[in-house]
Amino acid sequence: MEDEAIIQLYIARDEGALRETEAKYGPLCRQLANNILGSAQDAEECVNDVYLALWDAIPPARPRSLKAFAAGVTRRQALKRLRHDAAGKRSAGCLVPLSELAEVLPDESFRPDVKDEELAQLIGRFLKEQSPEARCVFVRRYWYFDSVRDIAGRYGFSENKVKSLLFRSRNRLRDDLRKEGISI
Amino acid sequence: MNVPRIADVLGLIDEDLMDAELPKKQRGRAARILLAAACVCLVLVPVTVAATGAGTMLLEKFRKGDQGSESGYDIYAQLTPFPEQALTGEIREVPALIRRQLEEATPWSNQHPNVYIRTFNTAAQALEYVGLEELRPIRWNVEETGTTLSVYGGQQGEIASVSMITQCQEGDVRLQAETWLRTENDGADAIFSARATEDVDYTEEKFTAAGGCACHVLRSTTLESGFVTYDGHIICAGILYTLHAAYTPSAAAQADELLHTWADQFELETR
Repeated sequence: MEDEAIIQLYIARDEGALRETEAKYGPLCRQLANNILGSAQDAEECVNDVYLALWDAIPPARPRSLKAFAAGVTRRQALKRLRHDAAGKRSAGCLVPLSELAEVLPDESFRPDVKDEELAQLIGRFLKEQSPEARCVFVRRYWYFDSVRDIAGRYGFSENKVKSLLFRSRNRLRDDLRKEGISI
Repeated sequence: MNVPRIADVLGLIDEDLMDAELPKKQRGRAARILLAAACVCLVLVPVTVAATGAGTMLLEKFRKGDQGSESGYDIYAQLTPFPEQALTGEIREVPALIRRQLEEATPWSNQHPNVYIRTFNTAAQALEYVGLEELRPIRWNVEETGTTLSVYGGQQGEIASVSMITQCQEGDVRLQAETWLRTENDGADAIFSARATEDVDYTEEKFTAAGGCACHVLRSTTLESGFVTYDGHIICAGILYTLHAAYTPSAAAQADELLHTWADQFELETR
């Protein structure tokens, strides 16, 4: 079913919206949640929370892309759950890929004036200027938390190519931020 | 910036960007296996990235169990794309030979039709065949047992990159001296990968050789065979030179001396 039709089901408060969302984007959300939480059972529970959140959010929200919207909700829900669990016993090891970005993004102790929204806007603009290859690999690694191996398999690249694309993207991002007066 | 905040910042990026996707499973370029010795496999892979800066950089090293069934490391090397016309030796016959290989290729061919391979008795003969002014001959008193030249071509036979591997033996040290250059037809820098099928750790060392070139060395722990290996990497005039050695711990001093003798022959220069 097309996204627009599924969104119309949400707006009509038809529970079929959840079945259609599960059929179309369930695997994507489950995979993303599993990448973050590292547990199939926790991912399943997280995805159930996602459907509830989507049901509550649409309407009034009317997303342009249901896929991106559902993935965004999944990511937020999973990270929220991870942080809650990390306060207890779970390790946040799945966030290790982000430590690669820590070297290119400004340290808050040096640049407390840089707001998250401003930085997100700059990174978003940077990504739009990248080649489709570089952009997709960056997004799969740092937004979807895919492993290098999974990204390589997804696009038919060698793992080396994926690593190199990420390496070069990070360097270009650092250079772009410097040009904007934001350096680490 | 700390990791939780990075996660938050990325979560604020325009979600439409997360919708972008490439066609799945585009055909990737094949890795080129150039060298194998003492259970350690070395692979050079071209990558399509823009070039900035110079030299080699360790991208990652890992041990068996960290990421799968292999230990290894990856080094990024920025090479200089030479004009194909700068290759003035008999290598200029190769595009036609590769085109013929491409025409005659069959699905059951063992050899990749884009690769032209030729062996020489000495490294000097291989260098003469290539005829690139910037290539540096290695002059040292070690016994060469042959040089394998591999020319990698594009779809029209144009020369994309060239590899020369010279096998040497000096006492208890087995050596492979490799030279890798790329042309304007290979829009790619290279990642040099070493892989071992057993649990091996690598230590990274750097030193400046007598000629001023930086030598980047990755040295393995002792393999199950009892051998230790090192790979010394130098970029000189935009060409990657690698010396791979396998030796027993008792020959470590000799292996190190050979590494320095090899490295000292490259002189820092700008093109």
